[in-house]
Amino acid sequence: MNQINKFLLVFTVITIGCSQSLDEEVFDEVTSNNFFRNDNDAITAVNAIYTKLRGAGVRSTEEGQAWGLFAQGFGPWMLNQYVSDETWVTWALSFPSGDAGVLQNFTFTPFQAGGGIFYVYRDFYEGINIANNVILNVENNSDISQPVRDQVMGEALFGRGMFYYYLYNFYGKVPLVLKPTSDPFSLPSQASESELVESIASDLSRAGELLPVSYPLSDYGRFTKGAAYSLLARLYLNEKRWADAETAARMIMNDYTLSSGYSDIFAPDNNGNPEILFSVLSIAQTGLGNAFLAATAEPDQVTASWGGDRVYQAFYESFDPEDIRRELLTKSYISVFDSSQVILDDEDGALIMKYAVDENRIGPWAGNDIVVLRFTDVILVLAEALNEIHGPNQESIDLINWLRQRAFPGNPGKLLNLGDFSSKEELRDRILQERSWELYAEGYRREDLIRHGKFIERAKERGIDAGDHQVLYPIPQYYIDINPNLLQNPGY
Amino acid sequence: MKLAFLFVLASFVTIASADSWSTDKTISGRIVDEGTGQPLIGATILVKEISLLGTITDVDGKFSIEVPEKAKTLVASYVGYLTREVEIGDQSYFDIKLQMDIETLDEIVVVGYGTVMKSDITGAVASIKTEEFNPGPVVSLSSHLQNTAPGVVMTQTSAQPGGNFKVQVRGQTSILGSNEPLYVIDGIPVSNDVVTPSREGSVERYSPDKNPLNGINPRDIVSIEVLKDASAAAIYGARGANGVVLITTKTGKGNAKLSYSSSFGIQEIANQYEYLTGEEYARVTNEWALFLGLDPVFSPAEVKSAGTGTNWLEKVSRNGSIMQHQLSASGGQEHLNYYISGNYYNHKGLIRNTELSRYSGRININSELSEYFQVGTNLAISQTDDENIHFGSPNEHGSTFNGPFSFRSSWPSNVPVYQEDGSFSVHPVIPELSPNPVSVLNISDDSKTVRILGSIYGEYQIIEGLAARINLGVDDISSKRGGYIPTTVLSGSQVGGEGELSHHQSQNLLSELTLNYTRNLGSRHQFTALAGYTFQKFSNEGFSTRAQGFSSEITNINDISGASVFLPSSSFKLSSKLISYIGRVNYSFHDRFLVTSTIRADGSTKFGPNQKWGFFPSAALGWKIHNESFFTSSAVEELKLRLSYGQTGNQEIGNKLSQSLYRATRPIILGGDEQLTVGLAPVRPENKDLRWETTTQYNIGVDVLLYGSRIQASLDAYRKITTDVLLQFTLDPTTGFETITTNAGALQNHGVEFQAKSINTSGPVEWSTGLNIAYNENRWKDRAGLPFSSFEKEFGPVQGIYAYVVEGIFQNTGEVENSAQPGSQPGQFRFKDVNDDGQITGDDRELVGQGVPDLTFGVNNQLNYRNFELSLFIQGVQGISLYNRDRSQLNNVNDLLFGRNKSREVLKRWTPENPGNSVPSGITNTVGNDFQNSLYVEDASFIRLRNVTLGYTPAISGMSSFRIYLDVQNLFTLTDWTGIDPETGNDYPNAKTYSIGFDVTF
Repeated sequence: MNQINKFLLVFTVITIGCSQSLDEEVFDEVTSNNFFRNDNDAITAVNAIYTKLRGAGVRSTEEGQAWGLFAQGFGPWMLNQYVSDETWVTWALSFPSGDAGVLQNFTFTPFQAGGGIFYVYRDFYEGINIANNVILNVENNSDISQPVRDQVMGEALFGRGMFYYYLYNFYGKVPLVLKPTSDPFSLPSQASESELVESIASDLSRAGELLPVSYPLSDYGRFTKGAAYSLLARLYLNEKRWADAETAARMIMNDYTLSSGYSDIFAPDNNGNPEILFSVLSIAQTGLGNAFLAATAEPDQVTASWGGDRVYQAFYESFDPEDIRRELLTKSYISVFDSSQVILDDEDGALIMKYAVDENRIGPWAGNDIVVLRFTDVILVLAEALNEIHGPNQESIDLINWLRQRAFPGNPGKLLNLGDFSSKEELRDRILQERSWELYAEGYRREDLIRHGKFIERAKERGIDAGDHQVLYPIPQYYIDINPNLLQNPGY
Repeated sequence: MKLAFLFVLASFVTIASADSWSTDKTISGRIVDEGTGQPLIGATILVKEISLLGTITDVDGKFSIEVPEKAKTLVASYVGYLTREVEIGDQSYFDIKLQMDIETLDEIVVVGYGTVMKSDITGAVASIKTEEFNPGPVVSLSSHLQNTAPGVVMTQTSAQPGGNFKVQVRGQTSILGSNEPLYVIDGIPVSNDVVTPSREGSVERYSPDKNPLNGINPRDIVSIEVLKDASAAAIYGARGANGVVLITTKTGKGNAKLSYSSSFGIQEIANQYEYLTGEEYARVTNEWALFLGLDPVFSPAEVKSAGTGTNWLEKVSRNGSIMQHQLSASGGQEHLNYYISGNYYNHKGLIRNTELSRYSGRININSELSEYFQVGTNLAISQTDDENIHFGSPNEHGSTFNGPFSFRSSWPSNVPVYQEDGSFSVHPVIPELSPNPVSVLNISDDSKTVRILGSIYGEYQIIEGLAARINLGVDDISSKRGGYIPTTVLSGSQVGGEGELSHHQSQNLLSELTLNYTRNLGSRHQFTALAGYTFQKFSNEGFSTRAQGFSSEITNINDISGASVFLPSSSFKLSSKLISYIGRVNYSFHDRFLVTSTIRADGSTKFGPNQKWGFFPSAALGWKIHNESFFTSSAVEELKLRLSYGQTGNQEIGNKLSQSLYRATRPIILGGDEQLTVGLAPVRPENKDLRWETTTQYNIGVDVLLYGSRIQASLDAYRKITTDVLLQFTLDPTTGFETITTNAGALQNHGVEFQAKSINTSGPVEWSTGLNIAYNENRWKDRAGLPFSSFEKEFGPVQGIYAYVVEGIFQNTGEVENSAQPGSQPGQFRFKDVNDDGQITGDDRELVGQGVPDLTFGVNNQLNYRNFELSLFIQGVQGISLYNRDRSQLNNVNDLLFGRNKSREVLKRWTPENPGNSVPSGITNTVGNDFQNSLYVEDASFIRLRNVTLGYTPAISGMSSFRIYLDVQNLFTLTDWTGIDPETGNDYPNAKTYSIGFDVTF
């Protein structure tokens, strides 16, 4: 039996030698236990919010690559533009059931929402969860220094406020979740309009207090005070809370100024332009660039473009021919293939050349930063709010003229006079028109038209069979199937 | 069609006639069983000196034959008996007694951690021997499993060289986890994960994964056992739920042998689509533009001159070829046996620039150091080189823009391959989105995978009957993949060339210690027991980097410092461990009753902190009825009843799923100097209770051996219930996560399997048939709150396909008005209003099929006549439906103005002038356009003549054996599927392979 003893000894040694803990070792991800320990962790965590601004609502893969026909880089763009009286896309004609087609033709339904309506909802709640997670872990965390805590809180609050701003704008009543979910199976109900507005206003105004007007070079591109108040002012304007809109706009009127040239705002070197309140920074690299021009320029106009996005001829013609802002639209170009001149017919509209060609671009990816919020919008918001409060007034006129001075350099005859406007309605219409000339194809148009009650009317004027309920997008049926507590928007 | 295979079987009648010979002498005799004295009917008598001369015995076992002068020796043979030679001499009457070949009747079957005699098996185990292997040129052992064992369903997912297989044993048990069986090669459980850096997740560079088993040379394998029921598989515990495939490689025995075999085959495309010719395309495009109220796209002159146009498939393909060489040496003496082999395999695929080469070597040695101590090693090393192509990414409409197959969707035949200046033509509508299909073949994408699989063991007999065994194993796979998209390809031209370099490594270490005890208590009780401890650690790591703007296209990715732009790199490192205790007891009473009981305890790092350990028991009973004294039957030699019950688990899910972790996001740009920055974002919610899936299985089976061992058959019925099924629960988006992995559901499989081998005729013409049929039904049993869609059947099939039912096409506005689709137009689909609510909504989807077959079968017929043998293997897969992605795209003209390609089916599409019910007008419905409609969900059942082999084995002096053969794989397929191939998906064309080969042994 001696052999058995020897054997048992060996057995024991090997068994013990092999005894191992069954705790899972993680090498390539960070666990909750060792995160949010210092300033750097907090900054890294809040950086994740910015990833939701590139390619959000356009992704075809899990990673959300900024690719596809809507590679302008900012998902809400197409939801705000393709349904408007400014822009249209040729693909919507040849492929009416596509993502662009359902928007342009107003044929979106809960079952056929198209990629934009479908993905923006999901992606923005992912952004909200990132923000909620940062707020929960940073707000009262003494491991993080006060200045960093304020900065990070400001960014997270702005991010959350902005995501809810767009969700509310597109889908109306949506669930309001302000903490990371402890129960992943929870199925929240929708919040009321007023709850949403109050929450968004609270986030944006807190962010406005915490965020700086501008950043040192190393942090350029982060959310600013101006971004926060510009969105807040527009939120109040949309809610027709004119006085609140005025107050919010005035918070930053002295902090920012206009760019001296209109085209500079969108140039390849627009990084640091004084008028930009927030832009998605871009470099000429696959997946990290601005592909707006590739979606608007014709394939034989600018290499690596596919084209299709245009403005309507009527919009092109609405401009004063001397308006320099129209120079970023074109009806003709020289073909790079055979050097012939191509001229667009009336039914083809005009090509949008707002983002100037970046000669260093890689394929369609250019280095022009994608402008999301700029000061000009705030100027017109304030002008509109004041008109709603006081009727035509000199300050509103001065604010509009601030822009027209730049639009008609050395042409003071093009400035407006208070006497030109006999009623609030007249100036209101003029402001809506001016917003379009100034901000066309930048993603403002849908909500402007809705605020002025002209969204569906204009669509009908274009011969589209649009229904009044379409001022809100439907909640995609997919999400209602998951969460039966959601009520579909009326009319769908 | 389900019964068509019976016709094939029945029609398989061959009449053989014997030639006559000039004779000098008549001899006769009788052949009987040595033990019983019973006559053997149909036994073969051959004259050794004259290879074509012989006869068979009659019903009394008698024979009579005329032989020439030179005949010296008679050879008597009978299936299941040892062959005997008799000198003729002066005798003219012979009473020949043949002895039963015990070895063939009671073969040894490998089970987990040991072997048992086949007659003692209590579980459901399929054993596949060399004779049943696919005789054609195959790269992996997966081909040997295709319909050779009942209940093992193999589907080749891509026909590219070394393409992967999907394997299911007795149906699907998991939704989220793996459904692949556990592979155990010479005792080492190996991970069957793909190690070669994948392009599967990549959008533009998509290339389907190759079969991870390609590194294992199938010609080194002597047998494959599939453990199907819980009694057999429970010894593999948390990895046994999908069955276990045990692979045993060859060992040497007897005299030293040197063998060489070689084969060469050519391949041609088995089937292809008919696309519109150039002229038809131009015409249909103009008609469609007119239909939409737009201007014609092509001028009348352009339409006329378009002609037949380009056959794109021809331009990207070639004839394939397969070549292989195998050299092996083996032998065994009293204390040592060895098997050494080297193999080279090369497959040039049907699509240009696709190739696979494998170099492999193996050494198996077993040695008895002393009476008590035995050691051995199995060691295999292989290198697999793959030349890949980028298939291009399927987009939401199922078609591809990017790859060499993009002509199926995007490149119509009226576009030439080259422009007049010799450069590649560009796409007429989307020149910046879709590269020329031929140009894409200039992309290089090569991988090299080295696999070292080996083990050493020592076995020591401590006392009589008690042996201890230590087994140490390693499976180390290292793989590099490098690719370069040159500037001659669209996406490369936009970025100055793009290269990608990845390296992955996987290591699996095993150490196990087992004790085996055998004891006979008297003559009636036989007892064996096994106890053991095993520890296995899996690690995976890798990195990948991409760069653009290469200064030299010659050095490209081989000198990455020549790149000007570096894209985000990535790396990963994962590790998991499995600690297990195993036990098994076999008890046999009087060789009548058999009892087997096993238990395994598995501790896994993959699961939540509250659920680390799992226990998996099993028990089985066998009753050898033929050994009972009351049982007397001359026809039935063996009759055994088997019953089993047990539990197995499935732990093959990803790592880290129980933990809430933060992962680096995609990079963003921040700062005025535009630096790349990343964030860390939460990737999943935590789940502390995450645990393995448990499968409880009941099996009842019966084995019989009939008519002098001429017929062997087994019938099994089983029920498999899997609980705690891991589901990717779709979460409400407000949680910030798309899904959570959680144990929620239950699935059920039940089915019947039948397997038989029979010798139909013996004598000069020996005809044997192997047949296996399996039926499996797979359903949901519980979804634990995972909501059923309104249209879904509760507890319907797991792979159920729900779609709108196409009733026809609206012919006129009157039909539209009277329908449930008031907004429709003539020419659109008319759907069935399933719930009769007067409108077509999501609720009107119906179960139209399921994505897995319910009936599978294989029929193998083998005919031997003298030195010739002919074998035919027919494979059948029934009751499966698939969405015909290509067809839904190719016969819908709605996106013609994008320059998409179309099949000739669109010539029959509905137009006001040409009404019809088969192809819609192209104006898409608001619902149910593609995979959601019953027109494009087609029956993908098929019956395929998978291989035909004709072999000739002449006796040649100086060689111990020589065989030459012709083999055809995939000669024809009967199917209702209208796509290219019902099995292998639609991308890479399926091949017919004709090959010639020989085997020689000295």
